[in-house]
Amino acid sequence: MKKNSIRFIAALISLILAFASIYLGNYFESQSALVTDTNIVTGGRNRAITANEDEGVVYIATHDGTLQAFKDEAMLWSAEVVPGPYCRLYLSKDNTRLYAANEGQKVYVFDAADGKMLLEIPVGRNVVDIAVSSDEKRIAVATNTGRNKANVLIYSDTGELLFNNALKNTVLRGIEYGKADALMIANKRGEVTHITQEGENIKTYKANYDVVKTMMHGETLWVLTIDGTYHALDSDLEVVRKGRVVNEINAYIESIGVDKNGEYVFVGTEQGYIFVLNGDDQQVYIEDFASQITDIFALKDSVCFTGLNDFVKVFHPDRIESFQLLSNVKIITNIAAIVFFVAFIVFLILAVPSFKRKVGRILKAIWKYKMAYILLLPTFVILFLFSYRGIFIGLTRAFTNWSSRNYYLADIDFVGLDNFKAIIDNGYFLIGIKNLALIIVTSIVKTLTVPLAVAWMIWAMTGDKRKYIHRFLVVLPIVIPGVVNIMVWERIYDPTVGLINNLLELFGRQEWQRVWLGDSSIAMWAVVFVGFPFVAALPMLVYYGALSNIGSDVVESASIDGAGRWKTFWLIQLPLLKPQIGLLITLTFIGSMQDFYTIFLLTSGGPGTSTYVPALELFFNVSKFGNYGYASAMGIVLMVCTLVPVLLSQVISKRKGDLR
Amino acid sequence: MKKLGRRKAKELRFQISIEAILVILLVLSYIPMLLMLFLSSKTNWEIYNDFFGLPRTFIWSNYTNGFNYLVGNMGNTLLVIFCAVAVVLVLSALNGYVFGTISFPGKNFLYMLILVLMMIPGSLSLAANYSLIIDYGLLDTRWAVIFPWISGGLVIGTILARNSVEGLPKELYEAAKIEGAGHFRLLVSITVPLIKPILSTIAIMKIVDYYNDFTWPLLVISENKKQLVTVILRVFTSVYAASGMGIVYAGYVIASIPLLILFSFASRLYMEGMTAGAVKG
Repeated sequence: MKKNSIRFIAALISLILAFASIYLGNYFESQSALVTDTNIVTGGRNRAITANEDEGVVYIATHDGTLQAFKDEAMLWSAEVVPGPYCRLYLSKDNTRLYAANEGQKVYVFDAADGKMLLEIPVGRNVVDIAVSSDEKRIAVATNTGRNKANVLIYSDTGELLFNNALKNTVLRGIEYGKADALMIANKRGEVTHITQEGENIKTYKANYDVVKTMMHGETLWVLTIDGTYHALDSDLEVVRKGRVVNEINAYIESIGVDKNGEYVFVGTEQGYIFVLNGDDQQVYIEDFASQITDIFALKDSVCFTGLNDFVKVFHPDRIESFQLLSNVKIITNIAAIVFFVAFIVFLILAVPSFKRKVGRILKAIWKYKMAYILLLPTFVILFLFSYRGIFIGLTRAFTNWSSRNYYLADIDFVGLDNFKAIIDNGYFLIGIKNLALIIVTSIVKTLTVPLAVAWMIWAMTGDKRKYIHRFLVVLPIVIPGVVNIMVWERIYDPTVGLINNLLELFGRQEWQRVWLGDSSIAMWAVVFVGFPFVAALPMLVYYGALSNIGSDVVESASIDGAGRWKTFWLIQLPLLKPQIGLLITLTFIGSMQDFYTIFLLTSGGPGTSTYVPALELFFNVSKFGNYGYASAMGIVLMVCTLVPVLLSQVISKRKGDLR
Repeated sequence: MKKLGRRKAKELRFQISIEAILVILLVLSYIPMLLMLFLSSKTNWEIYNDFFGLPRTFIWSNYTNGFNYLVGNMGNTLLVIFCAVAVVLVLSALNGYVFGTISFPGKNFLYMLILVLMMIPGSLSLAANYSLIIDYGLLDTRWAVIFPWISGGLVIGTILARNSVEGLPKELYEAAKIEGAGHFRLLVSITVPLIKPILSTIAIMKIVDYYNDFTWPLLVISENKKQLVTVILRVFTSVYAASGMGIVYAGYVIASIPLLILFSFASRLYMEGMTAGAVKG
């Protein structure tokens, strides 16, 4: 007895340890995340980022001419939209003014507190980069005109042009004010030159390759060249540090950033890769963010970066050293969790004598048939990894705030039925239900009419060969992949080169022409009419198979009784087809509940929301918005809406059968 | 006699009228296919200005351009389908054999575990499966498509194979066992040859399914080079839509060829594969 209670306690301790290991593993995982996401969304293609860390304000300028400030990830202000795309953004040292270079041949100055435009400088040339002197009295602008003319323009703080230095046979890439306001320019030939305000060269450093971007960090000038080399230059243009990314993927080098201590160097690429190099210029990390990294900005103990795909992420260089270690810890804690869990089960079985006997018997039986389990193992491993796990996660995380922002287990919080409430509040899902109802009803009508008629006509034909040829011809179009079929239909609906509008023109009915998929009043019907005249192969084959399986004696006896074809069909054949009709209705119902790719390809739910369906909203929340918990909740709703009617109808039909 | 003649005439009229209806329906349902073929040989100018006119010259370059663009992605699709179908067939035969011939503890429970997957729609776990692919480090690789396809195919494959194995005479296995045949022999030299028909049905059914899959590869593969042909057709269309609609249509024709070849070699199995999933599942 005493022995058993010790075992029982051991089981409990193992269980506690198992959970502790899981918790520890997740804790370390969230701590070791090198990159964390923010909720900052500009709605545009982010090009430049800067921040006032003391007040926690982030400024982002976009390719679409918007400039926004965010405090604590919420929008603080939004400046007036300008016509051209922004390319560079500088915050003055006292954090009061924002200088923005714009590719629409303008330089703007904004009040950093409220986003009011203070100054607009019409440059009249393509602006590449700007620099602001330390006393903020001068704004230097590097511009290019044509293929090989460049200018260095210097404006006063009131927008007056003070100096205009025309340079020939060069293309400028960057301009910076260095130590003691020494003016530095970098060009396409890889020359970094210290010039005077009047444009005289003082000293030149040769970087050999086309310069991509320049940046001041403290008193160090960082120059990034197209081959992935960065040169850190002091005020005399002497190299203090130099390194090169290991760019085996040949990504296009795009942006550079350095952390506050000037230790870790970050190089962003057009393909979305970020390379991280440590203080010894060794590459320590690469990650792919799938979208062009446009700007990188150093914060106190982290680095934030942004890209065209409207994201702002934060990189924690202080975690790099512990990163390797912590990912090993995760493996160890996972193994520990499994070991403790097994120990828990073993101790528990040993603690209860009746359990012990029963389990012993079962184990013996299992051992005898071990081969069967071994043979099934590969299947269940695959099913576990790619089916059961997903279903389990979907069912449980539908009740959490799981998203691409809150991705790690430690960030995921239980939110109860919030996601389900959001389904009702957001409205898109409900709008979709109306369209879905139309699709379900019309799809069922489509399956019940034309294919059945065709199957019956082929069945009623004389001659086996003739039947075969017709069946073959009806089935043949299924070789066209679904995507191709839908795309051809999209072309048929095309307003200018579409078949329908061309036919209407041919018959002089231009007034009937429509933008079929672009007119919200008819787009849904255009979607429904895809596949006209709906001679679907699968239901046809099912009906045909059932019709030929009905004994010819049954039909013949009916015709001897004087019943015509029409009567025979309605009174004898149709009732016998009931199981097939039920099956096809079920299949069509499930299919139209889940299918959204027809609409995705044709209209993407538009125009407006006129062709939206719930499954499309689900897909967009996975692929575009990263709202995984919300999407899982929609998945549960869709599953219930699919399964309940199907199961109910089966129960009812079974009951009916029993009663008979 | 007269009555019989009238009956014959009536029958003839009936046959002619159903033939007429069928021909009309067939012509209408072949319009997309014919349109695709017809426009694929025209220049952009002809499509815009002379939509219904016959092509002045057959523009072969439409086809070569389309082929050059799509050939890599067609290769991806065929490779991925080949891997997935091969694994599905091997494991389905194995599972069919185990479930169909051995009675081991927990057999019904394990089989139910597989059957349950038939009931659960993919939308429930779409987000979860996507995140798992990220966690496994498979995003933007061909494996991101292969494994989930196998997982899905194993369900219907196992069910069909088990039904087929259970239909085989039991004496066959007993006789072989008496002769001392092990699991491997029983599987390879008895089960597989006898359930070949259902295995080919599964193969064709899955090839067609996989070839038509659109949303999953769209979600997990973003690099055009690795993308499958059905998904890349969208990109292809947007690339050529402005400069050569003829090329776009030619591309559609090219993308339809693999299934056409499959159909022409195995039309009976193709039709069976289509209905097997629906009826027996």
